[in-house]
Amino acid sequence: MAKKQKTKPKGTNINKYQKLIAKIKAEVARVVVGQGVIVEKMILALIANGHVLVEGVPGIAKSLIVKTLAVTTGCNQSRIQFTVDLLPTDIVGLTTLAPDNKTFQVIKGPIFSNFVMADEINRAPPKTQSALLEAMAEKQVSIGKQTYRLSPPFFVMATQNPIESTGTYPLPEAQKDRFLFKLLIDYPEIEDEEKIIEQNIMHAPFESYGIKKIIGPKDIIEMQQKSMGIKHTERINKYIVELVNATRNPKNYGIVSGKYINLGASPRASINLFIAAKASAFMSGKEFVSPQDIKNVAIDVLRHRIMLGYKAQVEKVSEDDIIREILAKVRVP
Amino acid sequence: MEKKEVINLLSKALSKLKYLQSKPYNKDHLDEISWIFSVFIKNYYKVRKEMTTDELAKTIKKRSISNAEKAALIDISQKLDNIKYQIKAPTKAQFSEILSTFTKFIKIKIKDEEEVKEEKKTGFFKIFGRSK
Repeated sequence: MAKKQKTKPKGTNINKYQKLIAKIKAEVARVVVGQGVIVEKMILALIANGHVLVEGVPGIAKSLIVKTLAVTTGCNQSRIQFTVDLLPTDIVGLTTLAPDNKTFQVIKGPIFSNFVMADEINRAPPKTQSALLEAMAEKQVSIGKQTYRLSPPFFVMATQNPIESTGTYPLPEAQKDRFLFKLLIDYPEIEDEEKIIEQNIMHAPFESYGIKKIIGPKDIIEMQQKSMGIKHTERINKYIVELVNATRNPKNYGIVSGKYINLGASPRASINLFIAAKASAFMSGKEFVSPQDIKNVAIDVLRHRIMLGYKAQVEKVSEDDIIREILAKVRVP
Repeated sequence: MEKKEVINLLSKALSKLKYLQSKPYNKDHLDEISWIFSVFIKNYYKVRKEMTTDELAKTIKKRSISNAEKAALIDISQKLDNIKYQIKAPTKAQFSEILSTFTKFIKIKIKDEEEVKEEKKTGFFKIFGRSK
């Protein structure tokens, strides 16, 4: 029987990081039950230095995941509840006159954290949404005449409720494009839900779980740099471009469900696919990117970057269905 | 697929691999081996999608083929991955190894198929005078 060949890196510490990542996942799993896949994808997004848009009904531990991840990674975190009357200054901060010495002082907003949870982002008007989205893209904010860099790592998890659409401002396509991943969180499995009842977080304060800090912000930055250093060949670049091109010209690839696409993915999708695939290879302990790494992240990277027409809604065809067909038909190099 | 077609497919793959073996080493031949492997997998195992090594492993796990055959397929696919996606150009030795492993595999498959064909001619169904 042929021996399975592993592609472990030589001369790097990827193995060390894999162990740390496993420890983080185990620590988070002490509090967050039944969301292992989502936790893994969030860690992947963090290593890829990207942000995550999460869609799921309320009450499935979205905030708890961010809070626990922040503790295990030694990062500070804040939560912003987006409402219709939320102002940009409520996010970034403001300049105010100090009554004592009659000088202007800057009060920094909750955006000045390593992990920011933007809860129900689609409840705030576009002006407020864009304040957050600008910070996400530039990794800096301007308050008055001053510009402030946000201290790395800077990770935003924004949530959307897919059910209630009344009184919401859906994110424009260009804004959604800024998120590395769009993740869909579903209800936990029945067995997991039983465990959730057992160790109900509402019975005891979060602190009583004694969640340990596994790594620090410097380690995350180091992982981000190592991940970017993962090797890739031209074949990989070509495969990424072909996949993204298939969302724009599905006919050329024989994608039957392509008729439902109104607008394909942008070049930013290619860049994000590339970055996320590298992080996936890093997390698997590989020294080079393979097509499997691209397939691992393709659905989460592309699902919010293609626009479907009304026919798709009528015939109940989702973005995920189309991306699956693309992955099955575009030739693996 | 008819048995004749299967043997034809395998023979074509074998002749292409033999042609590559007869030619002086050229790193571009890697794409050709990869393509032959992909066509072989899709047609012989009736797989209708583009697959990575991990997906191939999952797909053949469910098939009723011998463990040795499954392992050999994964081995070839992994060897191809290791030289296709690494930044270093494949060495002549790596190239020769994969070419000979794949050729050996195809030869075994041809032998297997011919044996099955032979068994059918003289087997149970032939004796009792009805077709399968």
